[in-house]
Amino acid sequence: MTSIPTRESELERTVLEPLRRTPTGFYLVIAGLGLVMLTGVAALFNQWYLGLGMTGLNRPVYWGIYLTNFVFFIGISHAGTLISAILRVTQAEWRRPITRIAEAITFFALILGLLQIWIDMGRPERILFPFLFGRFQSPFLWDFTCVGVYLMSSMLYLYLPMIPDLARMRDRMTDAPRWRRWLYTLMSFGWHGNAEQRRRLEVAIGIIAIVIIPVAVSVHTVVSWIFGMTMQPMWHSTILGPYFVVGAIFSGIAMLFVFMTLVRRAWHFEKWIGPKQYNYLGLLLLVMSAFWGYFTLAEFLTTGYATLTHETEVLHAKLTGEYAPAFWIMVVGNLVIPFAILVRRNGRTPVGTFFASLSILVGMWVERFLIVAPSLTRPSLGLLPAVYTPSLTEVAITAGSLALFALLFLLFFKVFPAISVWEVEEGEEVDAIQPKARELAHAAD
Amino acid sequence: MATNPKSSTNNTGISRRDFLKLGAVTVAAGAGLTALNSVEMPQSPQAAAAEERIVKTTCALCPSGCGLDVRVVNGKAVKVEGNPLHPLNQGVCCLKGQTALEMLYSPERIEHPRLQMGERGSGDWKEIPWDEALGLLSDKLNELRKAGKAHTMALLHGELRGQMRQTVQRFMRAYGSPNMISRDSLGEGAARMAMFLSQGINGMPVYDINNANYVMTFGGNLLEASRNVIGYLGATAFMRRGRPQRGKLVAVHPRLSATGAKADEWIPIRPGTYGALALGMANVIINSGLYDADFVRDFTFGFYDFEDADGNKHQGFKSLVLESYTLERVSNITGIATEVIARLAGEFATNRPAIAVLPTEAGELSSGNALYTALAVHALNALVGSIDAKGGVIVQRFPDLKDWPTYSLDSAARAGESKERIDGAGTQFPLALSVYQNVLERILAGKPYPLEVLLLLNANPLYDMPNDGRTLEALAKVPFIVSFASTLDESAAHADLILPASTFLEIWGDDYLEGTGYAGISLRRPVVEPVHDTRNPGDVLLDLAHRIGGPLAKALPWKDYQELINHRLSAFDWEKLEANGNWSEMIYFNATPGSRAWQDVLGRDRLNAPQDGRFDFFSRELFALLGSDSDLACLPHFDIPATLTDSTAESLDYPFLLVTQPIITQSAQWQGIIPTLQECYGLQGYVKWDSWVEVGQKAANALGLQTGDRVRVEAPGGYAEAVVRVRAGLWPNAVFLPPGQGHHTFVRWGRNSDENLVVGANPNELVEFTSEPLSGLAVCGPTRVRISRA
Amino acid sequence: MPRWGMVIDLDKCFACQSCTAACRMENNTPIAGKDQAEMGRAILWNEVLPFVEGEYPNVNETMIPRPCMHCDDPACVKVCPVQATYKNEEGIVLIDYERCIGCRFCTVACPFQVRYFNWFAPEWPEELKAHLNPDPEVAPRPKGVVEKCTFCVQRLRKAREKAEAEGRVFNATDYIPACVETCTGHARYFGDLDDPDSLVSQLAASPRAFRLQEEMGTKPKVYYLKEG
Ligand SMILES: Nc1nc2c(c(=O)[nH]1)N[C@H]1C(S)=C(S)[C@@H](COP(=O)(O)OP(=O)(O)OC[C@H]3O[C@@H](n4cnc5c(=O)[nH]c(N)nc54)[C@H](O)[C@@H]3O)O[C@H]1N2
Ligand SMILES: Nc1nc2c(c(=O)[nH]1)N[C@H]1C(S)=C(S)[C@@H](COP(=O)(O)OP(=O)(O)OC[C@H]3O[C@@H](n4cnc5c(=O)[nH]c(N)nc54)[C@H](O)[C@@H]3O)O[C@H]1N2
Ligand code: SF4
Ligand code: SF4
Ligand code: SF4
Ligand code: SF4
Ligand code: SF4
Ligand SMILES: [Mo]
Repeated sequence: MTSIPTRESELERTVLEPLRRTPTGFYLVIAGLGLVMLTGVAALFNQWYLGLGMTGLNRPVYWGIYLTNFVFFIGISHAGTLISAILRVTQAEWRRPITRIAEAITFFALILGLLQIWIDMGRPERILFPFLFGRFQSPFLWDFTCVGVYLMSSMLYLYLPMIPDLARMRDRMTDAPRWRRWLYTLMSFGWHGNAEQRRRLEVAIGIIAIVIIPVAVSVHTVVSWIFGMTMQPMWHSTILGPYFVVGAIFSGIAMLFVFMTLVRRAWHFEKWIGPKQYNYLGLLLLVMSAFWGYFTLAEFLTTGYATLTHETEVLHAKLTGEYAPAFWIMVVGNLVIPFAILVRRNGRTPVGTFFASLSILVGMWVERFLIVAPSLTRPSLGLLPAVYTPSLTEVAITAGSLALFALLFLLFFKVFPAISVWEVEEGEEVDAIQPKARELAHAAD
Repeated sequence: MATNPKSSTNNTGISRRDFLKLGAVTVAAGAGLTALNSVEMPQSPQAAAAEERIVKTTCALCPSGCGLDVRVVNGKAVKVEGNPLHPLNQGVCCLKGQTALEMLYSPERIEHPRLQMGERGSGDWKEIPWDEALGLLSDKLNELRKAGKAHTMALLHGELRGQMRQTVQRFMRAYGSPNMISRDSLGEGAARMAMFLSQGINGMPVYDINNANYVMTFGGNLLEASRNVIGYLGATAFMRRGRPQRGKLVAVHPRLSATGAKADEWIPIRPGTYGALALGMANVIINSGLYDADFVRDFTFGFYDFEDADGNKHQGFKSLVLESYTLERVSNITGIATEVIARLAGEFATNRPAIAVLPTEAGELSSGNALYTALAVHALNALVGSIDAKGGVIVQRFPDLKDWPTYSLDSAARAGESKERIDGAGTQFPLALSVYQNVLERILAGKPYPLEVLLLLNANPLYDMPNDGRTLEALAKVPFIVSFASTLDESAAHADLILPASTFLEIWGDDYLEGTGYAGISLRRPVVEPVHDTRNPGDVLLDLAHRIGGPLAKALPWKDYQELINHRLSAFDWEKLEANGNWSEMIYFNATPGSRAWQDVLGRDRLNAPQDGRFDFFSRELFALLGSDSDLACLPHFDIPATLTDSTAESLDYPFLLVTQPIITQSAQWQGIIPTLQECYGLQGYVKWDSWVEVGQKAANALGLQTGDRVRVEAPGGYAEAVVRVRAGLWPNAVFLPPGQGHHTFVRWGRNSDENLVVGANPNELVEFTSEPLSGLAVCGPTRVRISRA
Repeated sequence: MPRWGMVIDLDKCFACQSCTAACRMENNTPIAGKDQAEMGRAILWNEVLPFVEGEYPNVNETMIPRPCMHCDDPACVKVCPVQATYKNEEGIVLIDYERCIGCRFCTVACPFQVRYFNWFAPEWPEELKAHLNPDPEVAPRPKGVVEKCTFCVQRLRKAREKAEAEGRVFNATDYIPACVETCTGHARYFGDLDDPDSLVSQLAASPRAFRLQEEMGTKPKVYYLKEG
């Protein structure tokens, strides 16, 4: 690897283009998302002012779509880990152009996930109490801890690999506004790309990439335990941990597809994000879909086969009762559509995967909802099934959250490059070197 | 914590204001959170507790009359408990007693006397001072009286407790009106009359469940809404677990009520056919010789066929029952299997002492056979020798109080006394004391004379028996209507003048200890200062008596009702009475048949039948009234209600039978306004703040109905809407609609509620009220109804 | 140290709901009103729950009054992330309303659904506030926190204070919760489960005794006696 070349390469130009120019379309998108987000904020303040009664929650359905969103976002956060950490550790070269996007998704999804917990609190001003008075026996505490660690590590993991690019920006973007130049200077930490710096960076990234994998798995397992540790029907199950993790990775990849396809299209990254990524990642998505289907089957079959009254009631609510439409949306969204599109090679195109992924995101959100709500509508000492209909407040806050998520993502990549330039460059070098290396190896034989 | 004076009643603008605040808060963002949450909860105004005491009084929310201990802090009543020194409730009380404070402090109470300024029912009220209101009424009454039309004033009343009954009686008599009309015919009339016609006692039967071995209710909702519900709850618990040998409770009703669910056995029966069941059981008991032969021989009359003094032959109970009420026939009528009837009869006769509980709230399902049903049920008690036996049906004794002052009637009063009663009691209905539902028919007919003034004292005819709008029409024909209502009930809304009554927690009064058997009295006293500008109706009557003067002032010479109570109860050690809240004999002496005391429990009040200490299977009282050729009419027997056999085209359109039965969360008087009763309302229907319709599983399948659907229950005369509960515990072609709902609220109760909400539906809207001949008991069912999706 | 517990004899309980009402009047639980009650947001710490089994005409309806079970191994305490719910040294499970963050983990964890959430700030029509119980322990709870049956702790304190004021030793029978005091069937018993001579400990050992959902393993301290 050499130090930063003096002339901008095509890659650099393309990647830095969105940081330099802002088309009107961008403003429109931001304005639209901002409006949705502000509506959500207004609804949230109203809810804080009047009380959680503004939701459709009740007794016994104490948790609803805020908790659903929480599980959903935390699930999404597995995108980054999987792509950059697992693929990095396994040295899958095609990962390079999409790691940054994946890591950003992780980071923002985690923030949104934590936000949902705050939104769901009856006394939001007591947000610090868990740190002040925490009880370690509570799965919530495990969650706060794991998500906290995960947030910290994924922030590092987003930041560290960005340092070389930040330095490059410091040097290249001399025409950028002052605050940005200042920011790049500050954040690039005096990076000059010398060997010692590189060595240290590689070591640091290597360590985090390995550490973050168990953290990520733990996070989602612990999220599942919030439910699993109670004695509610269809929650109290050992499969819940792995089931959540599989679902998380599944939805994480889907979210990655959606964002990366949009970014690729809007900012013309076709040259770097191409068939290789779509094919490999598409296959991965297909595998995860199958895994997810397998877990779902296992979960539903064991529940259905045994005759524990309350479990069966919940199962019936999902299969044939009031939640049946949602159940079938989930099955179609997570299995039927993805399979139909992804099994064929020519389905694993940007368009195909995009739609398969949208379908999966819907399906996975519904899956999370079906885990949270139906169990609570059939309490063990219940009389009639309870009814839970989310209120406008909840819908507005959920929409606002999604908008905020997109907004954070967009604004972030308005300031920071969406493709890790140095890593892609490094990858090109590797590509160039590898055949030679192989030849050398053969020669040695 | 900041105290916020805001209440739900002025919350209407909250969302707008909140949104304004919202804008501000958004600007202040994060830091605003704590501020947001300082919209704190209201604090109890007594938070800084200082002066605290317990005041003993007597509940008036149902005929039980429990002794209560009310905790009063800084002049506000904050908690009600049962008085442990009260022999009836022994420290406990029911949920209506518990929630009495919500009635006391209800925002729905009428705060001042009011006069209707616009058209009746227009709600155009003017608040006036008491003096003006009483002046107005006394002028009116005086005028009538002077014109020789005192009898054209009538008073409809509900439950009158303690001295209030005689106070009203004296008032009416001295004024010169025979028209003091109770709701007897809607409810307790059947049991009272059965007691009189067979046992010669003018009073309600009392059940010694504590000592009984077998208790069988014929329709009565003993453990939810009986006249002595608190006493019977405690006694049933004692019968089961308080003594070595456990007694059995059997509940007969088309519906599995709470009493049915908690009974040892529930016997579903075709609506309106209890009488047949009782006679069928009598058949088995007599046939198998299980009856108390000694008692029947020595202390009853008319068991065997007999010959009267003139040598005419008459049929007796035995031959009637053996001939006409065979197991098969009774099984066909009641829908209960023959072996079940036989078993029940056997159990009843061999597990003595046994009690057959008479229906009291006969009103609702009264099927035109209420009187003979009650007679048939009571005959079972005589068959097993349970008359005034330990563990049987006993007779309430009353304490001797200081005498009332004597007074003589003037000409106006005498003229009134000789007039026919407006309700036809004693004339059209010779057995009746009051015929509530007939008043309105008579008003409409203008017979025997038009009414000029109608007083409503704790009575709400527009709600009790709307009779398809005819009641309203009748009220329109009365020129002046006065209501003593404490809240704006349906009838008060159509009154000209409202003299709002204080609640029982604000007044002096008393209550006889009823339901224990032994004599006793319970003191009622103000627990707090009157919350509003209201008065005790007793005080109002005394005041009116003074203003009108003449015999009224002599009959009721006291300044206020407290003085009246002081006088009447001065027979007791007042200090002890105050300290305990009550006085009683504490022990019931059962009369030995044939002893001198026996006369007090058998035949005491007979008018035309001999007081020979014999229980009449064949009612000689009725015979004296009806004369020869009336054997069947003097014996307990069973007539199938027309609606059960009716198979005309119309009846096929209305395939279901309406059953209604009061439930414990129903407070006859205050249903609309006690929020906690509403929140506890439909335990078995899992319904709060609403009515529900119970439909049997088969019927629901046939109609494609599911729990949760809203339906319209329709009778030829009206309809009601409610939510469906498919229920296994219901006679297959019956539907159940609980009474007591369908009142207006005038206040917002809780968030998003409507200020003008009608809570649930009133089943009486479906019912057509007519009267049984002789007894004048209300006939109102079983009403045929149909159900369709709303 | 006493270990407070309750016994409810279903043979003497007639589902009269006097306990339900007494609990509200003693503990200032707010009125929900029609709209909120229909959403399932009524707060009644001690509901009576009906369970119907069978088909007509062989129907059996069991009605069970259900206060908090004050479990010895309470599911609610374990999951509370801020230690707002705790079991005190006398075995009573309580909630610190100043501490509770309103996460409702405890409400979904409790297998008996005895915990209620304040969806809004509690409201009473102005006039009705007059009857609120002034005891500080039962000051109306703010919005956003969880509440439930406390075994009427305020009565424990007052009983102790009274005994002290009267110069005598506090006796377990001095402490009577509101629902026990009013129970029309005299079906509820309350006392020290650790005292082998107490009525509750003897009844709890009766062959008729059972506890709700014992399989959940929370070790409830409310025992029921079977009907019949
Ligand atoms: N909680 C509560 N308690 C109350 C009241 C209340 O409103 N709420 N009301 C009080 C009052 S005013 C009264 S009068 C008492 C009444 O209380 P009870 O005297 O115990 O009467 P109920 O049990 O209400 O009803 C008697 C039953 O008789 C049956 N029945 C109807 N018609 C006939 C008939 O023709 N023949 C026969 N054999 N049976 C028939 C019906 O099924 C009816 O449900 O309760 C008092 N107690
Ligand atoms: N469907 C059905 N209908 C029934 C019955 C039934 O079982 N089923 N039962 C019948 C029987 S037995 C009865 S007793 C009646 C009872 O039912 P209602 O006749 O409705 O009698 P209440 O509700 O007792 O009182 C009537 C009015 O008196 C007013 N009032 C309440 N308290 C007081 C007070 O302290 N002082 C004064 N002055 N006024 C007061 C209230 O405004 C109330 O609306 O219902 C009868 N109707
Ligand atoms: S049983 Fe009747 S008198 Fe006793 S508290 Fe209840 S309503 Fe009052
Ligand atoms: S019943 Fe529920 S709330 Fe009460 S102690 Fe047990 S787990 Fe906790
Ligand atoms: S809602 Fe309150 S009491 Fe319940 S777990 Fe959360 S913080 Fe603890
Ligand atoms: S013990 Fe107290 S708080 Fe608990 S249910 Fe009974 S009355 Fe309510
Ligand atoms: S007060 Fe007693 S009898 Fe009534 S429901 Fe409660 S426990 Fe049962
Ligand atoms: Mo009545």
